[in-house]
Order: sequence, then C-alpha cells, then structure tokens
Amino acid sequence: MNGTQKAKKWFKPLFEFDETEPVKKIKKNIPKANESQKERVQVSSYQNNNTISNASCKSWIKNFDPVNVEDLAVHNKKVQEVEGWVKCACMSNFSDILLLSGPVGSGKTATVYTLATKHGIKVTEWITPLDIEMPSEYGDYQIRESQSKKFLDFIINAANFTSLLDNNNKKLVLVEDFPNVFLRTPTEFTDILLQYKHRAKSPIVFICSETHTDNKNSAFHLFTPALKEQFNISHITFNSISTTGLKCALKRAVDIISKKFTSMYNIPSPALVDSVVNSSGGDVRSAILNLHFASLKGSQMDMETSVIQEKEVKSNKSKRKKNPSSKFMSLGKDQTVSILHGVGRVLNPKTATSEDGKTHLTHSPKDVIEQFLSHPSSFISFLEENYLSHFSCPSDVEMAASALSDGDYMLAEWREKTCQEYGLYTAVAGLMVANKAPISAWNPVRGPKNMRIQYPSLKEMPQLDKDYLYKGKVLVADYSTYCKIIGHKIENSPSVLLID
Amino acid sequence: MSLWVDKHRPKDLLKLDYHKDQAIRLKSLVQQSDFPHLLVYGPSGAGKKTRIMCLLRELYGSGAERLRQETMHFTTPSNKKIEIMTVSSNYHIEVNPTDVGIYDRVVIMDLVKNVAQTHQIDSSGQREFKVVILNEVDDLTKDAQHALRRTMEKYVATCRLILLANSISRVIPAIRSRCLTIRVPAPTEDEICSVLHTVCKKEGLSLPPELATRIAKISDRNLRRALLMCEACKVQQYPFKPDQKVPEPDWQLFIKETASMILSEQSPKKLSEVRQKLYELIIHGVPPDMIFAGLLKELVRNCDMAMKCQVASHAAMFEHRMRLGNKAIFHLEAFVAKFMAIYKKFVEESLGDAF
Amino acid sequence: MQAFLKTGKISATEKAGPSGLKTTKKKPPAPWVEKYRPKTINDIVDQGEVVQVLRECLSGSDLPHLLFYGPPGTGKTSAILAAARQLFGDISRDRVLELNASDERGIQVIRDKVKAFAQLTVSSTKPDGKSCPSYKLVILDEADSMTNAAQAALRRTMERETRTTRFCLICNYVSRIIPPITSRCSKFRFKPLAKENVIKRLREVCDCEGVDVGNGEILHQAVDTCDGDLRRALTALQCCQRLLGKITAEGLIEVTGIVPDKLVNEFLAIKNYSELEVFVEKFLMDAYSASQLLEQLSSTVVSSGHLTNKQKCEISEKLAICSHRLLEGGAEVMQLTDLGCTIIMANSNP
Repeated sequence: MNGTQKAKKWFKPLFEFDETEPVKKIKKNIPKANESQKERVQVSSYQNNNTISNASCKSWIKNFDPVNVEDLAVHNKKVQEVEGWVKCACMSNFSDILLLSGPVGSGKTATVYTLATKHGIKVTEWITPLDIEMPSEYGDYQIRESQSKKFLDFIINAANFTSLLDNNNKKLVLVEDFPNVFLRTPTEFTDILLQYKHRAKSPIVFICSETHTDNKNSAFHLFTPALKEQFNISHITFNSISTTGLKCALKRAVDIISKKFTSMYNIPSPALVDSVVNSSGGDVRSAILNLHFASLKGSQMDMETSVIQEKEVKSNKSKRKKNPSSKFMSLGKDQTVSILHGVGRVLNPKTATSEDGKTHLTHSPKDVIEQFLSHPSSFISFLEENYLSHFSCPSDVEMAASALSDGDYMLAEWREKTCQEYGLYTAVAGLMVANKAPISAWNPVRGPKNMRIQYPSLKEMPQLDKDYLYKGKVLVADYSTYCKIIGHKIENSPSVLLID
Repeated sequence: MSLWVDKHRPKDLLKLDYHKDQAIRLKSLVQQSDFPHLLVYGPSGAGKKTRIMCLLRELYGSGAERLRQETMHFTTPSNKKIEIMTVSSNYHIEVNPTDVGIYDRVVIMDLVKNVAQTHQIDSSGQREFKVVILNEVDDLTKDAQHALRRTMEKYVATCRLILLANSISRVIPAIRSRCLTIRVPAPTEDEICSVLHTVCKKEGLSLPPELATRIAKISDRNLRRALLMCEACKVQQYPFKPDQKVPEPDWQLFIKETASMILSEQSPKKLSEVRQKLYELIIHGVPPDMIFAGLLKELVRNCDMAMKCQVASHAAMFEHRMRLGNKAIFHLEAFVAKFMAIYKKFVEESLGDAF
Repeated sequence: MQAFLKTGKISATEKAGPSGLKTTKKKPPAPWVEKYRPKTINDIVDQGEVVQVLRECLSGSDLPHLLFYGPPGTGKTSAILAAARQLFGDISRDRVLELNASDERGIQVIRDKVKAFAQLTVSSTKPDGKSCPSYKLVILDEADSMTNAAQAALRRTMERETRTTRFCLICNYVSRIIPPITSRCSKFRFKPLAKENVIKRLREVCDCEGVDVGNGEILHQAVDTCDGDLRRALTALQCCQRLLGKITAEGLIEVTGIVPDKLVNEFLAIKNYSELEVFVEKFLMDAYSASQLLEQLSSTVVSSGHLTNKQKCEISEKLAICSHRLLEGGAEVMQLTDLGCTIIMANSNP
C-alpha cells in the first residue's frame, strides 16, 4: 500500500508542474534558443530553481552534445581516420565520397559535426522534405520523380555555392536521411552519384545506420561493393561504443549536470550511471536519454522521489543482482539479448511455479525468439551446436533433435515469412520443453561449424585424366580412396614408375 | 600414367563391353537425320558418360576428343559472380550445374544461350548443332529444371542437350517427355568380371577368377569402382592372390565405424561423438543421402522385423526432410537420436525379458 | 499419380515450338502428336456432348465460357484448338490467347496480359470480309496448376469482359478450380477414350508414317502401358520408332520407362527384410524409376485379388506418403525400403 502511495506522489508533481508552470517563461526563453549553444546553456542554468522551460527541454539532448573532438565517445582511431579523410577531401576540392556505417547511436553524425566545427567546415545536411500536396491518382510517380531531382539539386547546390552570409569556402554535404525513392529503385541512386561526381566540387558524406532487424529497407544496401568501387567511395565502419567510452561520455554528462543543471537534474549516482551503461548496449544516444530520464528532477518533491527511486533501485538490486540492466527495462532500449544469452536461456530452461501450482518457463520461448527473428537460421545453428552437452537422457535428445529437424525443415520455406517464425519457435520451444533433466554444468558456447563441403582437389590425385570433368560426388565416392592407394605406392617406389 | 579406368575406356560405340544392343541402337540414332535431346540415366559407374563420349565421337568424329578445360564466369541477377569448370571441344561443352548450388538456373540458361548463339564455325562438321552435356540433372533445383524445359525448346535448332541423371524419378515429367530417354542399367557382376579380365589381359596381368568375383561383388555393381579396386589391389600386392584383401572405399568404412559407435552406446555424449564423425563425412563431400543409406543398412543388422520397419520409416522421413531443409546435419542427427532412443528401449526390453 | 498426370504434357512443346522455331531455316520433324492433332472438331473421337456444343457454336450460336476436365490425353486441348481454328481461320493469331503452365501465369500476368487482351474490341468480320464471331478466346491450359489467387483475379475479368471475350479453361481435376469460376463456365467432362478408338487412331498414324506395327498386338500393348492416354501412346510409339527404327513390344517398355509387371509383383510378395534389401538394390541398379514403380504398384494393389481391404489400406497409405516424398526429392532407396517394410508387415498379418 505504502509503495503505491509513494509512487503516486512521485508521479503526480510532474503533471502539476506541467500545468502550473505558465507560458511566460517560455516566451522569455525562445529568442535565446537560437543563439549559440554555450549561451543557451547559461540561460537555462540561470533559470530559477524549480522551473524548466519547454524550449530548453526540447533541445535538452543538445546540452550534452560533444563540443570538442576529445569529448567524443568514439574510439580515437576511428576519429582520426575520419579526420584524415575530412582534411584530405576538403583540401582537394574534389567530390570525394565517404560512407559511414555503424550501429545506431555509435556517434557517426556527432563525429562528422564535431570534426567539421574543429576544421571550420560548413556542413549542409539534406533532410527529406515532406510532400504536402495530396498525391493525385496518377501523380504518385511524379512526386517520386521530383524527390530524387530535388535531392540532386540540393546536394549539388550545397556543394558548389557558398552562402552569401559566410565566406568560408570549405564545405561538406551530409546525407543521413535517404529519400525513399532510392530504396525502391537503387539504379536512380547510381545516376545521382554519377552526376554528383561530375558536377560537384565538395566532398559528400553518407551516413547509414545498420540495424539487424530490418535488412531489406536499409540504405546501407544501396552501397553495393560494385558501386563503392565505381565511385571510389571510402568506407569507414563504426563499432558500437565500448563500455569505457560510454562511461567517459556519461561522466562528462554528469559533469555538465553537476556544473550547470543542478536545477533540472538530480546528480546521478555512479550506480545509476553503471546501470545506464549496461542497459544501453553501446548506444550513446540512448544512454544519454536514459540518464536524462533517470535523473530528471520532478518538482519540489524531488528529494523524496529520488529517495524512493533509490529504494527501488536497491530492492531491485537485491532481487536480481546478476542483472543490473533490468531496472531500466521500461526506460532503456529494447533489451537486446546477445546470441549467447539466448542460447543459454534456451538450453538451460528455468521453470517457475506460479501461485496456482502450474509450472511455466521463466523465459517464454516467445520472448526469446523475438530477439532472433531476423536471423533464425543462425540462431538455430548455434542451438544445434550446443544443445547436446545439456542433455542427459537419450529419449530427451531424440525429442530435441526432432524439434531441430522440424525447425530446419520449416525454415527452408523461405518464401513464407511466417514459416520462419514458426520454424524458430518449434526449435526453441521444442528444445526448452524436451529437456527434462538438464545438466547444468557450465559449457562454453561454441559457434556453429562451417559446413562448406571441401571436395578433394584434382591436384591431390595426379593420376586423373586432366581433360575429364569429374563430379565432386564421384571423386569422393570412388576415386579418392583408390587414388591414394595407387598414388602412395608409386611415390614410395619410383622404380615401378620407371619400369612403367 | 593414367588410371586403368581412363586408359581402357572404350572409345567406340561398338567396342563397348556390355549393353551391346543399346550401342547399336545409339549408332543408328546418330545416322538418322534428326537427333533428339537425350536423357541418359542409370546408377553411378554404369558407363553413362562413356557411352555419351562414344556417341559424340560418332557424331563429330575424333574432333570431339580434343578437349580443353576452362573456367566460365556468370553473373546472377543479384550481381553475384559465380564461376564453374567446364570441359569442352569444338562441338560440345560439359558442365556440372549442381556445382554452383542454387544458382544452377542461371548457369544453364546462360550456357545454353551462349552455345546456341555461336554457330558452328567448322563447316566441315556435318552437324548444324552443338551439344551441351549437363551432369546430375536429377539434383538440379526445380527452378532450374523448369527453366531447362523452356530452354530446350527455344534453342532446339542450334543446340542439343544430353542430360545425365542417376535416377529418373527426380527429373520433372516435362523434361522427360521432351527427351529420348535411355536407360543404362549397371553392369551385372558377371559383366564386371569379364571387363576386369579384359583389362588385366591388356595390362599383361593374370587375374584369378575368385578375386575378380570378389571385386565385382564388393563394388556394388559400379564398374568404375571395380576397376579402381582392381588397380589398387595390383598396387598393394602382385601377383594377385585369390584371397587377398580388397580395399573398400574409406567413406564406407567410416560409416560402418560410425554405425558401430551408435550401436555400442546410446547417450547424448556418444551422440556428440557421432556428430563429429558425421561432420567429417559431410565436409569431405560424401553426399548426405549416401550417408543415410549407409547408416540404415548398418544399423538395422541386428534388429527384429518390427524395429527394422520403424527405423526404415524414420530414415525415410528424415531423409526427405533433409532434402528439403537447409542443414543436412540436423536431420542426420535427428535420425541417429531417434535410432538411439528406439534401440535403447529395445535392448532394455529384451534384457527385461531375459531375466 | 501426380507424376503420371504431368507426364506427356506435350502441349507445352507444341505451343512454344512454332514461335521459337520460326526464325530458323530448317524445322526438325514435328512430333507426331502435333502432326496428327485433329484439324476439325469432327475428328474428335468419343466426346459427343462437347462436339455437339462446339458444332453449334460454329454454326453461329454464342459460345459460353468453357471448362474442360478429364484425364490427360483425351483430347481437351485438341478440341478447343480445332474449334478455334474453325471459328477464326487465319486470324486466330489475333483472336486466341493460349497460356499454359510453362508460361508465367501468376496473378500479375492474369491481371495484365489477360486483362489487356480481353479489353481489346474486335469486329465481327474478318479482314477478307467474311463474317466471324465478334469475340476473342482465351485458352488457359492446365488451369488446375494456377494459384488460387490467380484464379480469383481471373473471376472478375471473366465477368467484366463477357461481351468480347470467352474463356476456355482446361484441367485434369475440376476440384482444383475455385467454385466461383466453375459456376461461370459450362463444364464438360472428357471421358477416357475407348480402347478401340485409340487403337484405330494409332493405326491411322502409323499407316501415315509408313511404320509397320504388325497385327495390332503391339498397339494393344501401347494402349495398355499408357492407360488409354492417346498422347502418351503416340509419343511412346514415336520414341520407339526413332530409337529402334521399328516398333516392338520391348522397345515400348524401354522408351516408356515402364517397370516390368514381374518386378511389381515381386515387390508385393517380399517376405523379409534381407530380401527387400536385395530387391531394392537390384531394382535401382537396373535404373528403373521408383516413382514409376509406385504408380504401377498403386493400380496393382487396388485391383489385387489376394489382399484384404485392411492390407490395401495400409499399403496404399504408405504408398501415398512415399510417392509424395519421392516427388519432393527424397532418395529412392529410402522410400522403397520404407514402403517395402510396410508391405512386409501388411503381408505378415492380413
């Protein structure tokens, strides 16, 4: 009972503050929002204690944007690599192309902007405009057409013409938001690049996020190896931010908070920072977001809320020591379970007994498979490679093996999307249910074997007729054994060869 | 020095050692004005390829024997580059389309198109068509087989196909009905014996009849294997002795070993050892269906009839799934696991009966 | 069974043949099936009802949408082609659209190609002034292999374009056609041809080709091995003629890939597992086709006198399963062994 009351208290003020804080403050702030970052930062820190303006709230994440190159959470080497390219490209005045790819929130855009500021380069970014006109019945096509044309015009103008206002002649075009046209018709993109290469005089940077969930529509697939070769595109891949990198970044954020935003935030405890780091899965943006929400001051009652939160954290901790990220389940990114984790969950199924005496699996197969829907067959391969050491009874193994066989059988039907899901589900659920007497010894998870068939090469069998086409199967089934025997003897006794 | 198999391969249709009637018929077929697409089928080592080569010689003269090997390149619609080995003469080209897996369709269509579009330069050749030989047609994907049927019709003027298959069951009826089908049964054991004797005679060796019979028996009516065995025997021990050891193919021994492992103990631990063995077999290119057949044959040895039936029906089921599925090992393992479970129960019950 | 029904769909050859070959100088000799296809509907044997309707259409009355079904080789395609030829004469190229299973025939094609064709308007006179029906004909051969989605797309087109276009669907199994379509068509069942008629026709062809077939004994056999399928019988005869230069009983067996009855009965009488192993190995070594064996087995089992109903059930059920697996690429040795086991078990407890 107590808990719920307190929770209400913690919650309520937030609404109050939303409504009670009048519009006045916002007006005050708006003109200043356009000014440079530092100024704005100061403005908001001057705000009186328990008010936060909406305007600064909108751009609060900007508060933590890296200012110097040193602030980047990205690995030094990567930054240097990009910097090298940027310097080189901007000097040469050619339309070089760079492709940056990496997981979401690995600091790709931030790196480009920070480096640009450092070297005084003007960055122009393409944002796909919204088509406001209602597409007419036949107009659909025309709008598409204009979108790609607009894109081309934009990037070429941005690359070749300097704005009247600043006299800086170093420019960089940045494309992160790809017009949908290109995803549909990749050839159009090639044309655009061709034109750009011809006419533009500034380097261009493409940024693609790699997601493992949605492979088909990703802009990353526009850049085929052939395309890269054709346009001599440099490609730099970003990795997810390492834990240390994240910690540094958050530390910096905490510093900023403690210096300037004590009014807005509670100063996050190191434990909180740790759990934020754990839950973010190498995504800086989401880490900062989490930090923001986790340490956001509610209102006057903030002292109390933080205490409650602290308590919650503690109770959570005592319950699930092993899993520090769980407390941010609701806040954090979708919890990404690594493939190893998933394998562990399936092969060591834990059951829990609910109040009505029914036993059920702690991790339902459904939750597990959701993480691996994008690559079912590789997950099943992992399971297959590892499941045997967890079983103790032949009849259980038989069930499990049949389940895997079923799963593979269904996965082979690649035309039906649902079959993929069912196949995965069959295999996962089958394995979890089959194991009635699991062996809980620790087993390292092994990766699936590379099952590429290696036919014996013709060189190994010098006796074979060169001008005859051998089938791999026949080579294995018939020739290999005997050629070995025959060849062996000849090698050992050269005299025989001479006589022949 | 080439192997006996290649050295003593007959070059002329009339010099074939067995199925002589068929040879005569093939010869008369060549003399007719039109030459149909052929579908030649029969088990491995029955002499399909030998017959085809003889046929080509009959069609084009000795020019068809001047062979060269080259690697051809193809690009799939998804821009993947694939390459494939071919053997060709001026008159024909031969490929194993299954070497490129699921891209077999592209290879077949492009290859036949290429061949059909380049006309016969050598005007002295009395034939106005070239021949494309496709191996292992029964292992082609359904997609490729359907593509083949249209291709066959389209380029019939400049190009004839000779398809080789181990069994006609997996060739779609549409292809069957467009070809003249020629069945090449495996030679009988007697025929193998006589071939072995002829070859040994040519090599100036004397072969004891008992040994010849044993080789013929052990070779599964596969003439190629029999000849290789014979040559290996000669290398191991000459003069021949009637009771000398005939080396079996190593993969067969390997499968036997695996089967005895399965029979010795039924536990998950053993299964994981068996799996390693199966991996070995698959990686070395032993076709999974041969592994299945071999295992089945060995495993059912000491089962009673009811159990044999059970095992056979499971084997048939998992084999079928393997054919449709992606990963052969899953299904092989599932079969082994199934067998272990059945066998363990069987042993326990019979022990229970004994006491 | 399915494999059997697909056999001899030579109509595909016939259709694609002419278009592909036109550019080449020399045509290879036409298949007999094509060469001796009935030229007019009067040549169609045994299908009285259909011929009656078609004849009336020729004499000027309106043609309904048609749905022909029945076993292969009974003249379904021949009937409609002959009718089309008679209806449209030399302009049949413009007026008839024929699609069969070897053409792309997904839903998209139905939507685009068929629809576009159906929407053309045609006059009721030929270029040379003679009158002809003012509609077009779309022939969908092997319609039972169309997807249900494609059939559903067809339904709307059929209804909307009735004024200018008639459809003729040809299939082996009427049950595979969705009801909305069957209800829009007049259905005609093609009966299996009477044996005498098939033999008569075969003899005519052989006489035209100048091939000696003896006293009809061989023709009887040809009809038997081909289950009354005229097309298959003709193809077999031609292959045999090509390969052997004459037509003999053994030659027929050879070219049709038929498994000798002796082997079928042997398989049915197997007593134990080792016998089975030997049989399967020998069978495959002789390069007979397992799917063919299953087909023949199926008819043998059904009509067999010495099996009880229970045995027949058991064997037939397994037969269906094995034949399905075989069709999807299962190894012959496995499927035959499995089936053999079932037969042994069925034999041991009747």
